[in-house]
Amino acid sequence: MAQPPNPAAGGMTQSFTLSLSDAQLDRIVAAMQRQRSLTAEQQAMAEAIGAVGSNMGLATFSPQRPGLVRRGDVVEITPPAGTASVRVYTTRGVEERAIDPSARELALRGFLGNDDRIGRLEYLGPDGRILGATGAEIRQP
Amino acid sequence: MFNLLADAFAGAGLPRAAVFEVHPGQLSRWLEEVWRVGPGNLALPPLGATPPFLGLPAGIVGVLDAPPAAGATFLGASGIDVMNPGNFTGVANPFVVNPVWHHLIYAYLLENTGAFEIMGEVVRRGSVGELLELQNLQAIQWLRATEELFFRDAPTFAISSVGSQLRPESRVTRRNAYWRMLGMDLSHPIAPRWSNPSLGAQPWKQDVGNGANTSFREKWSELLRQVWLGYENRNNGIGPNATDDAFLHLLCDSLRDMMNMRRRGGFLAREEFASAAAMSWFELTLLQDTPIVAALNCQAASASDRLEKIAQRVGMAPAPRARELFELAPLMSLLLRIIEANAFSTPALAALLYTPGTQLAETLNTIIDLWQSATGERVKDRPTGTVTALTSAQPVRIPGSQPLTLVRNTTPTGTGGR
Repeated sequence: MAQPPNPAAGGMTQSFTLSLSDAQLDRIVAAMQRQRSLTAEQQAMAEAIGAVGSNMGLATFSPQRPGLVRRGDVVEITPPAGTASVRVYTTRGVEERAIDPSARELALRGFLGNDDRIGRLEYLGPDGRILGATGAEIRQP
Repeated sequence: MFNLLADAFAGAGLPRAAVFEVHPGQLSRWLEEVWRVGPGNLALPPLGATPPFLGLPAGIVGVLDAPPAAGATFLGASGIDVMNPGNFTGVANPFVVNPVWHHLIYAYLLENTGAFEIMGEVVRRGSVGELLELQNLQAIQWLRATEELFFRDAPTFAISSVGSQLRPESRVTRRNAYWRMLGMDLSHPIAPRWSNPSLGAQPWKQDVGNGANTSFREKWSELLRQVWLGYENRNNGIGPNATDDAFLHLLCDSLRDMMNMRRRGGFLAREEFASAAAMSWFELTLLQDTPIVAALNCQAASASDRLEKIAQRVGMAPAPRARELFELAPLMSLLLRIIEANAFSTPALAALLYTPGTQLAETLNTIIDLWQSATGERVKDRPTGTVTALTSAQPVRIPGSQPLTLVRNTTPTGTGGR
């Protein structure tokens, strides 16, 4: 505990000795950590703002850029009847791949490099006509 | 805007400056596509996915966008190929995921650097003579694209076409938007060459009435002061702490309401889009030693240094604090965008502005430093020495009230309501 100065003991030097038990120290550290940590609401908002910054193209927020896909990610697809191929729009360009109409997933391994983004999927018939289109729902392992 | 397109090129392994090699017609179409696709939702909790506030009632984007580019359309697709800027794919591309374009403050700060006027003079001299001795094909591409995109009337029906016989000068149109939304003028006048004396000294303020946020700067400065107060006291475990999260929240609300007021019905959305697009072009030009910078032999380490060297080539001078303005523009744009979207709807969320451990708090710290340096306005000053007078950490009132325009609810009559 803090010891107050004692002029009667022979000096006016203000000397404080702080002796705390481990338990008291733990409580202080825990209190300081509580003070510095964000609530769940604040954390969610901070992440959301980071995503907005990323979508505005701010370099400082780019590591949190949403919509980034990596090799191994899977896109869920629902090809309409008659689909022969799927066209994927990515930041790397437009690529097409023949698919089985019964397929429900499309692995992105063959399409993309790391940190590419995917924007849109189009389902094409055998004659190249667009049968349907959707934004891509990306599932990351 | 164009920074997002540059990101797409960079993602494909090309230099960001490949943007300048795309045909201006494609770039113009791409701007149309971005307007049509965006703006992306901000996804700010607890509101969930909400678009940036561009006015109430919502829907200004859908109301003003062009018909989709398809087989039978009067407007073609941009067809930009991020693997090859010289290619034309015929389809709307590249898709930018949730593009959020910059706030009007971004255009204001960047135009304040003098970049628009200086680079405009480069285009003019490059077009009418050989003083600049440009001998670089990519530089000629840049000159042509810049002149087509920003120094002539935009294509008819284009979303970036905010000029007409009624407001023929883009400089005046932008200053009008700055004045209304931010209550601030650019620090440099319009050069006599481009001004019309018959319109008066400041034509952008004519007929605006009370529809100008003249107290914006006062509120903004107070917000920065309060954030700094929170930052200073962020680790206080004992003793008094002058931080007042509720007051911060109040200031954010006040700024939000002020800006939302100017956006009623979607006003200023088009002007903001066109201004942000124009300024992002010049920022992108100056952020690196792009071909036009190299052709002018003005390579340097920063955008402001490049601008200063280019300005010397054409006998001009940039803003003395151009460096701060370049760095401040995107950061302040983000902050105002999320304030407008009501991100700080509670005192606890307002505390995020200074709470350490987030990118946002670091960004705010940077904004305070840059704003203070750019404007000379002291944000961090606190009383020093032995202070005996009572000073309050918060002002008595929220700074700067401003008059509101009252709408006359007069029933129209044959005599005009008289």
